[in-house]
Amino acid sequence: MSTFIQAVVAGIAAGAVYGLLGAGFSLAYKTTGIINFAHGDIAMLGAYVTFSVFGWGAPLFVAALAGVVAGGLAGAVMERGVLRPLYKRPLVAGILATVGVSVVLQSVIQLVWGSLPLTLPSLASSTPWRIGSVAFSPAQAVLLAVTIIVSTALIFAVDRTRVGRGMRACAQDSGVVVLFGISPERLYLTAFAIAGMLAGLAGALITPTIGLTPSRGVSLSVLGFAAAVLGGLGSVTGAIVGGIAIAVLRNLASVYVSAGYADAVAYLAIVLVLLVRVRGLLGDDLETVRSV
Amino acid sequence: MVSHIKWAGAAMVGAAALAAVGCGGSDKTSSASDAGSANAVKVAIVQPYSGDSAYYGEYADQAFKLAMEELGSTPGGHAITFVRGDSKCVPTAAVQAGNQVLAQSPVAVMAPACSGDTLALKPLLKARNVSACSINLHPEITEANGKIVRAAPSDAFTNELFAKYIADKGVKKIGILHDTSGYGQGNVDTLVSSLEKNGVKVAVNATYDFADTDYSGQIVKLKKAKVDAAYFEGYDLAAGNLVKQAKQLQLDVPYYANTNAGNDTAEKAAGKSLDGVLFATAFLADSSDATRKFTATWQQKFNQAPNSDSVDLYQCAVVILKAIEATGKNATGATVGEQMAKVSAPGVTVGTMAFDASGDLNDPPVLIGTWKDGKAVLVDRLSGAE
Amino acid sequence: MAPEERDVIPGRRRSRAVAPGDASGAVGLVVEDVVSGYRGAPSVVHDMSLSVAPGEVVAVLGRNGAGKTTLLSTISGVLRCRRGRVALGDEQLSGMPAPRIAAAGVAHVPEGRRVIPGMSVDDNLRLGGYSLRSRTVIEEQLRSVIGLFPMLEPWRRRVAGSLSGGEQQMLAIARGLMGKPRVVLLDEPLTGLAPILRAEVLGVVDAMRTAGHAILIVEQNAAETLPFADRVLVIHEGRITLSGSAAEMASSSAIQEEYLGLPIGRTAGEPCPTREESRRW
Repeated sequence: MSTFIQAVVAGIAAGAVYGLLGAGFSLAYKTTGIINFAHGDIAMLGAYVTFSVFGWGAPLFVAALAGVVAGGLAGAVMERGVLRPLYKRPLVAGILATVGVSVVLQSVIQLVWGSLPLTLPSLASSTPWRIGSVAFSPAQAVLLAVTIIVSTALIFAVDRTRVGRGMRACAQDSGVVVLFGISPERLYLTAFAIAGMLAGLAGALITPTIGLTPSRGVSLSVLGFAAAVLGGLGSVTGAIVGGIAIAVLRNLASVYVSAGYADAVAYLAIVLVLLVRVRGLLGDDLETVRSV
Repeated sequence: MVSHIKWAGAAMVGAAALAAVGCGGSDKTSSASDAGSANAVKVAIVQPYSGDSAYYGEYADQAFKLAMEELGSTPGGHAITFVRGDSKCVPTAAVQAGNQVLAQSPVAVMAPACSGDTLALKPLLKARNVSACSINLHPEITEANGKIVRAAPSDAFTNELFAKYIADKGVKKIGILHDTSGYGQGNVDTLVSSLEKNGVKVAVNATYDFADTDYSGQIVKLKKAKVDAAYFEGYDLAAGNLVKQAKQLQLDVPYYANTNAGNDTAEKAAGKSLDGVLFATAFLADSSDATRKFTATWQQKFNQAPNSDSVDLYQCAVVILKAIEATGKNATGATVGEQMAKVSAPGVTVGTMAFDASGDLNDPPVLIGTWKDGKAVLVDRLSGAE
Repeated sequence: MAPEERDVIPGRRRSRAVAPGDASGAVGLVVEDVVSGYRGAPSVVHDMSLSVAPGEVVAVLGRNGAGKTTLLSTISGVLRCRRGRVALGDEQLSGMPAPRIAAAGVAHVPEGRRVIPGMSVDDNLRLGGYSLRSRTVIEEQLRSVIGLFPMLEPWRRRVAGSLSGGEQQMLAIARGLMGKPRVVLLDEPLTGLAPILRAEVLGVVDAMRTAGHAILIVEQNAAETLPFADRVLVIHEGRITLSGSAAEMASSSAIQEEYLGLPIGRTAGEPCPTREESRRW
């Protein structure tokens, strides 16, 4: 039993970050319809900036904030510079462009910081507390707490605030919202900036565990995408739940089946969920509307 | 690094153009190269120059730079031009890069630092009759009358000694965690068979993927199996991350690890968690006069501490330069290859580098190291004279 | 329409015409010599001029493809004005992007209602007040609009997509009013509604007039619209061909024939167009 609990607890902590990645993914998708394959690379950029600012002597917390800002800037620049000129083209053009941005970001990171793996200390100690026979570290607790706070704020912002409402409306009918005084272009920029900040945050949170390498972003994009799809593309809550579900599933599969099949089990679960529920775990009607 | 690729690309195009033009004027070029004693030869460096392992390419360039400063830049009177291929630590890319550089008729090849890449290159080397020097640890890199010499110990050799060492520590039941790369698989295969020969039961042998960001599932599995020791295999960051996460999940057993756990990167990733972890390696900065001297030189020159990869790459550079020197005037792939097989050169991890019939180092170095207060220290020397 | 039917007042060059009963000058909507059309296509609206004063309902009649929707989209900035100008009081609207025109006080209730189907009635209404910015102002306006549309009260938590066509039309109009507009553009608000609902919608239009909004309503359903309108414009192929007070128009033989389906060899008024038909340009 303690093995089971340990696998689940560790999975929740790891999955929280996947959830943050997925939330950014979902937010950008929700407003613009674009699947941002550079999302994970923006996360890595945020992590590298955190690394540098920390290296200049700033406290880690401040450095992580700098990483978040850098992620937001990268998202905004990407939206303005790359995606905006493509909105009049088929959606596929924009999505492919994000793949290009991903490659460019990796190269930029490699040019600036080199390819030698770098590391970042975690925001809190990784010496675990022992609760019964289950280990849980302050670092994991911080990670979980940050995820809960940020995602709650985000969910509130999307559901309850004026701009969040605008984003949701824009996703469903970007043609009509201009009549209410909403500028879709400004919303797209906002969405990408916020998604970028979420990515930067996820990067700063996850790299103490995995380290920094220029192409790491690709695997982060895959995780974020999987979390977002499982949770229901477009749903922030869904992305968090999806991220945690994936990590827990992978852990349980590693423990009780075989580590070699962990990914297979997790992705099979996603396929099954989507077969039963096209919109994902917590997807809203938007997806069903779109898929019809 | 991107500029490297660009230049390599430009070089390819240029070479192709020359080859095309060469149909008419090939006499002239060959007579020119026959004429002087200082005729130029090409040495190929196939390494990851882009991607996450691009630092190997950097190391290889630095290794040649240092070796040429110490041994002279025109061995046997030959000026050396380098042709570089970007193997990306991806076997298919290695084959492509290999084909491109081998088309330029290099006299020797510095084989890629990733085992899978070199294994993929082996048939090309044979077909072109060019020899390579490798730093790979995978057992199958070398073979009798092959075209590869290895300036590092094979994992088969290292792990035979390391398994016995682990068994002698009283370990009865061990859990292993390794990546799915060619190196990781080869390393663990030799370790598992040696451990079993020594009566150690391998209770868990789990894998993780390079792309993984979390290893808790695998580590919990080790805990569940109640192993009394764990072996972690991984490239630099992964080796450190595994150890760190295992400590966090309170897998409270002795840890063993592969050579990468001795690198600075691993130490940066894992910090104090690495203290007490025993790893088998060919190189420790503070293990002999030769390693201390080399470490100081490298550190001063490139402003970074050397690790087993950079040391072995340097040893390969020395082997290649010495072999070219020994061929005298007539340096071709075949002649340089012959000289590489029978070279006898001063090494860093071993006193003298010389190879057996299959291309492996005679008396290869196997050291047991651990971390103590942020420094990698020698625990035991299982093989290899200083 | 034959030229001899231009028997009322020619629609051209009535710039800044002030409606009967309005003395406050240039506070209403003014459209002057506007030329516009869809992107990359020939102009649909030609040299059109009209004005709507506060507290006035102006009905625009015309067949499918006459340019009615194009006219409204040009006023609200969805389409660019190729020539001419649109102004609200002293503020020039033409040239502004649509969101700014909306914020300046023009509510465009589009054809087909276009409520956001996946969002609640409340959220749809709040969206309409997007340009009010302040949360408290939006909530205040929400209460006052619900006061004007009491039928919305029980549906507030419902998803807009689950409302019937008539209910959605009410919501769409109410949403338009959320932004405290001075001008309301209604595009075919009666289309597809049951008679009882049409009366309800027109009742709301009446109430809006009383509240002082300048209302420009585009309809095919002349019989029901005319009695509520103060003035009527008839457009054909993008030009105003007839205009006059509602009373005058109601007695115009041309109108009777074309839009009221009264005598002269026609069996009935035009059928209500489907959305596809009305979108053919």
